Amino acid sequence: MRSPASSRPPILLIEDTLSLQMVYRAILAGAGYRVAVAGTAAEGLAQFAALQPAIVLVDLVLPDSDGLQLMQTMLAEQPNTSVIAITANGSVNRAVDAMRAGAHDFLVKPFDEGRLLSAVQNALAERRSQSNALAVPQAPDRTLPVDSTGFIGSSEPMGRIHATIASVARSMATVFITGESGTGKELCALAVHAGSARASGPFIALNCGAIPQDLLESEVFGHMKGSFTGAISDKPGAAAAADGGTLFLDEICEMAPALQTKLLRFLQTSTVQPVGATRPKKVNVRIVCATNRDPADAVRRGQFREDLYYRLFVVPIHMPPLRDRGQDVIEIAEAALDRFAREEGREFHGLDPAVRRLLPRLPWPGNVRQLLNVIRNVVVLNPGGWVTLDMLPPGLVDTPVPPADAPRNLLALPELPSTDSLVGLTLAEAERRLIEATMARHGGSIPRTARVLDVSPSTLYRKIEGWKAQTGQAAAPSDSGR
Amino acid sequence: MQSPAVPHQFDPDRLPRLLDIVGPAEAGPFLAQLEHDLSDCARAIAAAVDRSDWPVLREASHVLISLSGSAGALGLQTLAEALNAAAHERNTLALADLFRQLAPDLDRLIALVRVTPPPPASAG
Repeated sequence: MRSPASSRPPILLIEDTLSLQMVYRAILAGAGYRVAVAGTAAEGLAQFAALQPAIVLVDLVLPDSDGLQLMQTMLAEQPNTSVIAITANGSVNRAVDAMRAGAHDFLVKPFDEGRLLSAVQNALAERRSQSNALAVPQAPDRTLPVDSTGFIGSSEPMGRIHATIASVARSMATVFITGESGTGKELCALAVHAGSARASGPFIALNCGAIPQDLLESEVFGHMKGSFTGAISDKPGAAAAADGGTLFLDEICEMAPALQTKLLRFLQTSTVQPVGATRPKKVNVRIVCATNRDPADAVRRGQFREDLYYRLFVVPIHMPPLRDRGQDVIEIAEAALDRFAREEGREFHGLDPAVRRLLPRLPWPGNVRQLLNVIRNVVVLNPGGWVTLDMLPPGLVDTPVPPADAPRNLLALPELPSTDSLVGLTLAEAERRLIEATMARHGGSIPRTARVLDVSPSTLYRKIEGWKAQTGQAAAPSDSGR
Repeated sequence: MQSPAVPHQFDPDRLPRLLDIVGPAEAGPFLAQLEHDLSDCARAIAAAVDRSDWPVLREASHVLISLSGSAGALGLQTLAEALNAAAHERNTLALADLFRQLAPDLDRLIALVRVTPPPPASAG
């Protein structure tokens, strides 16, 4: 049932093309909203001051002023206003600028009425959640559901990241996280979710590089029973499961082109259509995505759609490698030592001075994940006391420590097989040796290995499954790839 | 009377849908305004092409992208997007060719809007 128009908060529509203004106003009024309209920035600003609208829809190209500037003026006066920026197809980078400047969402013209109403409804839903969050006292300990040790750090780079998360969390802006494997990209995504008004909603994480491409569509968008061989029941898919919360798409650059098109459609319409379903379903999802690649380079190489890139690359966050985080290494190591010791029932006093000097100087190619593994190893294999150099895993202490100005990424790389060592092997054996050596060099990451070998990750997964079947091997090669 | 030629890649469902949205009472004024807005774009682009007035070309093509796409002229929308990109890049070489393709399609859309009758207002 529609509530009476007068009980809804007013919406201000600033659009200078009058025929379009008529259409947008009719759509909003037809849905029961009170709508005020303006055709210029000056008129819009006057209406804004008079009406104090909850939501402002503003065209970024106006005859008397830049829409982006107008938006910033309004947000400076009323920071709680939800601004939805409107731009035209072909000028999506302007929308990206608007999101970075604080817009809640953006619409790319021409858009249909469903997209317009969905953007407005999402903005209103966010406002309601924020009001509820303010009204309900928060629990003192909002611990994240996973190990958050890696997100500790008071270094300058991490300070900037915490500030960015704090400013962006409450908007609907898509966050694009980049960084090497093991730097904490998923924790960053969780922090964005936890700081948002949708923190009480689900956080659904999906690794696009770890799922075979032919299954990825049903993993993201779901499927109906019987829609393909093996679909024995309805499956909602990650996008629907994240309704009201956040969908985290890790290794986004590994997504196949066909699915990129569907993801773009999903972002444009806010609807999902499970494989085999006849009708799309509307969902309210905030997207956070991540990659350890350079997404702009993936666009240049034609591996990632440019329009999808602009849709997603709204607020970029780059997670710094651990080697660039100075004393964060010690903070993380001490926090992990404390936690792992409690878990294992051991009593450790801390890191002794020689260990404290060594850790910040190591290159940490596996980043925080590698550091946590080192500390776990120390706790499990030693009874307690001060952590000394001889407790560290073999090889770590001997890791060449670079002089301050040396490039660190050249250290201790596992060797690839020489051509001579391959002579006499079958082609399949040689291929396996090359793949395994490349994986070892890249910390076991299948997505990174696939990139180096210029094959898709699913090709490697198939080969590895084949080797396991041949040898009856139980354990899969470790892959995190994040 | 002969019907005007439709623009390239025309989606015939979109314009009637816009008329549905604005409702029968507003459909007439809406069609008149749409024709006016499209004609403004046509005039602005024609004048700006002659003198390579990039800011005007950017603004007019930006408006035309929205209007043509909303009205269902998908081929014209694509041309307007290309014109907008050319204006941003100040690409004089592409400009003349794009305008040659775009102008007749825009004329066709204007003519089509002009002869589209508003739906009759329902009684009562």
